[in-house]
Amino acid sequence: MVSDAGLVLALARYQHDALAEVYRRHAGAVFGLARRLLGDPAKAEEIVQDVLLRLWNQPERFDPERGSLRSYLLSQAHSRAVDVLRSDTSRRQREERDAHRTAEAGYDVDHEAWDLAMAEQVRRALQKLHPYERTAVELAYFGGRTYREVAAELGEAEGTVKSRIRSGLKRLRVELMALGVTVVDA
Amino acid sequence: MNEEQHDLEALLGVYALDAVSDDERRAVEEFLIVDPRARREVAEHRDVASLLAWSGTAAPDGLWDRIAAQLDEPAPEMRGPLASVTSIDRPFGGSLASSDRSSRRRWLRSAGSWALASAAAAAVAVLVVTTVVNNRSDESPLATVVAAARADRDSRVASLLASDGTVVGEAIVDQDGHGYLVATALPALPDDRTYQLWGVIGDQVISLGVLGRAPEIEPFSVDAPVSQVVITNEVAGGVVSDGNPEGAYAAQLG
Repeated sequence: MVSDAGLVLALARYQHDALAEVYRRHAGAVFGLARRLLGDPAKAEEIVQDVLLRLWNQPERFDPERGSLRSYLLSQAHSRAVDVLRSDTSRRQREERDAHRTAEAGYDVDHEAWDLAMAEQVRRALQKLHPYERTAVELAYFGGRTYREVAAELGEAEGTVKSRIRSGLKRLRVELMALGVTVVDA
Repeated sequence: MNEEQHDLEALLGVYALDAVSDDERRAVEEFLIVDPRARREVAEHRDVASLLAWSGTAAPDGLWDRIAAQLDEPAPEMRGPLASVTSIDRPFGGSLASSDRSSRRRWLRSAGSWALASAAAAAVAVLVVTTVVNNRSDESPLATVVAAARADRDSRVASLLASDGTVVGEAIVDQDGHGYLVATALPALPDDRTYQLWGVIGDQVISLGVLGRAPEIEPFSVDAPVSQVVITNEVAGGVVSDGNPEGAYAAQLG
């Protein structure tokens, strides 16, 4: 299997197949995250297009030294979705989001099974966080809120929320390892 | 580290989740340019965040066609290789990768020790304990977290001792109840046995987790002040013991 970094190298050479493979591997996750944040499938599709076309046009912006391609794409998608969220009045729509759409064409079954299994691992890891850490992380990441907004919503000090999100992310990393998600040299 | 750097470092977690104001974002991004450790932390936070998005969702029908239609049709001149691309064989990109190239790692699912069922309550051996500070050079993410907890002056750190006083590891519990057992000399058990970790809280003994047959660094959580942690050698697979496990190792935290 061609590595993600190899795919990006191919993108630099304008190979359409490479972008199609990036899409096959990661578009579902990017779409799922954007839809969860925005509560609007049409806007989520725009985010996917935006992120992938940006990768196509500017592959050099992806630095494998600074994380995986999936992490990069999701970070780009999250940032754009948050921009949309903060610039329109669609927050209410997020409450209507559908988190479990069926896999569709272009998404292979093995890939879907892997994603679902990993989602379960992540859900279990999240449950192991202290509730105050979990709530703060979820409100910030899936709610697209700033830490100040999270603090106001929870009635906590801003510094406290800032610390809890940071410690929650560190703790989540540890809990994922404890649940059998281990790191080995790539 | 000056106060401004400290303030910026405190923003790294919320920055990674896009939960900062525009001014804060710009300040953090300037900080990241000059601080590789901060860049590494942000990359790690984003890797964790990327796992939060793991939902098994598929992209909608027709979306790829719409994207493909926007790609340049005639292939232009090659733009040349990317200067910093490394070889990363990572199926599905499902990884939590460190930004440090030398320690780039991939998370794999495994039938981990935590899948074992819990065993029965155990007898506790109260042993003499000394406090140690162990500067490990292991740069794995978990080791980094443990090192930070160990260095925190509010954490409690104690040696894990065998009944003959031999040091076989250490236990660290930070002020938030995040604990880490670092086993340095626990003998590996046969396949049908497993170590189990217990916490002594007042006059109660509670299970803190099953560690497997050859634990190394094991995180755990405690919701109440734990005065002592104890490791026992139990039958693997959840078989209830008779209350007399084979040997015990203890660390006095209280």
